[in-house]
Amino acid sequence: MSGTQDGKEQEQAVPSEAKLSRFPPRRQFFAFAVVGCFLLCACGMTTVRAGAWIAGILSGESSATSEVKRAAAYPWPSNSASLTVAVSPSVAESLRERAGKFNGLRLRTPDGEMMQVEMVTRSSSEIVAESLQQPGFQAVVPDSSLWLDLIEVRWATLFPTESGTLTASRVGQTTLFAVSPVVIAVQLNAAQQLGWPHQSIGWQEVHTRAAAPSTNFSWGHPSPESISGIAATLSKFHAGAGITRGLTTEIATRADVVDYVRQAERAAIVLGANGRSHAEPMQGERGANGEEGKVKGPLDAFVTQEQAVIAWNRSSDRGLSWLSGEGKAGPVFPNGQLVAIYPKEGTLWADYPFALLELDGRAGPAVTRNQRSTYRAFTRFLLSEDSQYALLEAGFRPVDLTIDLMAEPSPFAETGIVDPLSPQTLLTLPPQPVLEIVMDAWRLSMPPVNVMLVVDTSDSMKGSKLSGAKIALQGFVDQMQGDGDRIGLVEFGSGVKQFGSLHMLDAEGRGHVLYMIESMQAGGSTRLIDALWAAQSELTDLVDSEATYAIVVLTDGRDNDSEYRLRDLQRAIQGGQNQVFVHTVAFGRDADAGLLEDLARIGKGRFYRADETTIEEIYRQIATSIQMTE
Amino acid sequence: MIRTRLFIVALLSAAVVLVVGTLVWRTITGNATALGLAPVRPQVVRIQVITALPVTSWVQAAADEFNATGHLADGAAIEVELIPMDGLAALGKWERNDFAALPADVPLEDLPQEKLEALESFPTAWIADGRFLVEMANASFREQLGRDQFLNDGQYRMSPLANTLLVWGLFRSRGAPLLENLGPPSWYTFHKAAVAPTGWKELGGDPGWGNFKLAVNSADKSVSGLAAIVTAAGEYFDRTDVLAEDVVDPQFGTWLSELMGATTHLVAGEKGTAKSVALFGYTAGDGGQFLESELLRNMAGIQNRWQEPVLLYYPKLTTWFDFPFAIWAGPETSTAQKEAALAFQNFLLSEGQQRRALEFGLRPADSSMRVNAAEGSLFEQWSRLGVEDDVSSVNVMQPLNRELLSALLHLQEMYEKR
Repeated sequence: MSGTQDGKEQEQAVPSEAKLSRFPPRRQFFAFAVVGCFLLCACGMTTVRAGAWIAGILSGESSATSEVKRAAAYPWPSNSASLTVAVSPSVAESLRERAGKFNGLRLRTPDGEMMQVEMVTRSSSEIVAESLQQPGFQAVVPDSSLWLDLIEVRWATLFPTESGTLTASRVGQTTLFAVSPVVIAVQLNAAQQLGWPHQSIGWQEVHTRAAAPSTNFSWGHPSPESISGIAATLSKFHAGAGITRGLTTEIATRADVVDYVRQAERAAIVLGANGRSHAEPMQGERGANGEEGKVKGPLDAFVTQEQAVIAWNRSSDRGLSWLSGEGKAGPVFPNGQLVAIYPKEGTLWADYPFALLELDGRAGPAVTRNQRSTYRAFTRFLLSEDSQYALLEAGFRPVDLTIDLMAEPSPFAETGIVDPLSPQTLLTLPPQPVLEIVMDAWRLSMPPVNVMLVVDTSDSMKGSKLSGAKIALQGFVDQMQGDGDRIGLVEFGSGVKQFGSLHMLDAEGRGHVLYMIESMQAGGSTRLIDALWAAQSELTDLVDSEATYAIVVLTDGRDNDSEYRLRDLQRAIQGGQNQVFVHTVAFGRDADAGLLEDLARIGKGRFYRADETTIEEIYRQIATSIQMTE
Repeated sequence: MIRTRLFIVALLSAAVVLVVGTLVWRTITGNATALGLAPVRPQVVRIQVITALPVTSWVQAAADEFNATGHLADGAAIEVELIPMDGLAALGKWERNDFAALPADVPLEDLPQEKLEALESFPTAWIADGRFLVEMANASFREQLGRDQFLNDGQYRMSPLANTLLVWGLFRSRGAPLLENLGPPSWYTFHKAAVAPTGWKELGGDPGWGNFKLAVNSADKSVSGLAAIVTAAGEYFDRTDVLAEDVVDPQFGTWLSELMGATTHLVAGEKGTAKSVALFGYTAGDGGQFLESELLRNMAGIQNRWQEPVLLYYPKLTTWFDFPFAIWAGPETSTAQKEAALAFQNFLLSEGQQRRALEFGLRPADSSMRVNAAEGSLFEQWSRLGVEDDVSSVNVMQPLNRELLSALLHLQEMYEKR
């Protein structure tokens, strides 16, 4: 210690060289030895640790490395605390606002990871479909628990277990944070004409009034991709069968009931992925299977959630997205006040279950422990007083039962247009198989479809390409379920190899088409235009003004041998008696995309690119698109 | 000499830069604690407890208090984390070995690091809805591993934490006409109400109430829903020991499906029927069978939302739930974790926490403790709605066994398919 003091003193007095020389040789040596040893140890430790670290990287054993590896293999790291939530459009805005506030808290998991919640918007039916695969999200908020049941049922079908055993769930921990009943939102004057507020009003009154030509009353509802759409569609089945519960497959498929539903579907404007407007033609395409409709309006009534009525009345410039729950904008109502009608036959509830998916890591990334922590933390946040009042403010009924809905500043206390003591009774949901029929009811109002499938089976289609195409085509045929639907097939290579004229899709006709698909064989060149000529000839002169006509052509190559030219085909398609829509699929990289795009443009259809992994989905989309075409 | 010194100084400077640089880098990349740059956290024994849904709110409140008061196991702070889960879901996970319990012939020391790390999230204990569930899980373990994993004796033996039972509940407005026309609540009464073609119109109520709606938990998703069917079968066959062959009786099946046709099953997930009634009112059920604790816990909410209470009636036959705290005996959890679980179990059984249970509508495990023993007891608060202190006169159904459970699940599948 004294030596150091000496040194300091000398440091101020003499140059550094002198300082060093003034240490006694032994002390100088000792000082060097101590400092040297320390630094040697430090360097050694650092080197060893660094070496171990590098060795770990090379051997793949260190935690850092495994994270790197997992990040490459999985969409989220194994310690991720970011929770992605697929949320129904009807609650997306409110939840996004809450997530922003939650993220602003900058909470961390016990191991120090930052908790983050991100919302992605999906329709409830998209949530179901994606949850059964390996979704890019870990939690879901559909608009009803019904969809979670659907996930479980379909999951159990995908991974069946022995009867009487306890099955594994796809849906894990679930929490409700707010609810809202499905109501018929009616313009104030239209509601008064219906007898509101003195008379109780039901679905039946709305159906009858919409069907009567003298009343000029129009109503609409979302497609059965949302709980509001299911309630509205189910009400048609109940009204058609004259029942208030106990809908069975037998009743739902009875001719008189189907007829009533068909008429009711046509009398209503149905919006959403599986619905369409009767006022204007379809506009563009949305997502994988969605079609967007645009409505002229205004409507007298629309089926939606109570919360949307409150939101509308508070800010009527919000457009249809608030009402349909499907994110479509359009002037559905004039800027007047809306009234919530709780149908006397009963209604359903939107309960927005916030559910963690049990992604177990078998076929993709598992939900991480940190993501579970984030789920729990966000759940607590949603159930906090602040969030519950925010949800009340937005027009939802919060699950915190201590909150008085009728006390200021509750929007329920403001007006008499919503009734917190309603609904009094429920529209009973039928069992799963019957519900599927209800969800497919939109098909009943669809016009018949005449489709010619044109398939290139030239030499280049050999192997997995052809087998993939066969599966996709079979799926397409399966999807066509309308009573009057007809399908034909043109298989071509160096010429037309098989020509199947349009067949009604009864058991025999369906079997015939499927047999033709199965018996396709690869070989020869590509006479694409000639094959299309044959297909359009089958369609252009048919007489059915209500039907839809379409050609779906698939090729993986270039036309190299046709006698007809593109302009011949264009003339035939555009000059024919029927509007024939042409959808084209470029299968693989070698397909003549330019020609196929031209064909789709000429035929007012769509051009798709596909490979062996997407071909099935592409055909599913095309089938939906054709069914939606008016 | 100067060159040598310069060389030494340069060497030392380079070494210092290397050391400091490495430390800074590792700090930035997050391994600071291991290098001593960040404060070392106190040692923690973390335990996960699968917890039956009807006791989750009570146990969670207790766990929060327990964690906050710094309980120790082997000198380390105990941190309790609950995994709320219905007993049926938990039983399914044990039976399928979803938690990855080790096979009997694989010693812990042979496990690779990755598997050892995975065991960190292995549940240390299970609070099941009833002892019968633990026994069913043990039967499965005997088959798979050759031994019980939840013990009936010794230091880690399972101990019931609290009690509740199935009771009838009816909205006051609905109860008055129903009881007048059909008699006291029973499965037979509700069956008559369920099959009334015009619903409340012929049951003496307001026709605007629609059909009679029965609130019962879903049998394939909750233990209490399954137990409700067992009590229905008990009443139908007029005995307390229902057998597997009873529930497959076609006549009983028809009667049950008519009865269940009036159920609504509005809510997915963790919420019980009483919470469902509080949220959705009459649409969730004009009346039905509830866990007493859940009904009492949601009574204030029901009154607040729907401006009237649900009155309680005690059935002729019921099922009790005793929520045993069962500590996993296998090597997947450490001795420190087992000790931590035991400490938490003792905490839950302490007099203070048993009194707290009354505030959650649960009857204490200690039968000598009266249901009005705590100031905030929900039994005391809602006594005017029909709550009874002494329910010893109610007949108790025999516990569910695996054979009966399989038969009931099969019945439920058939019902859903129909």
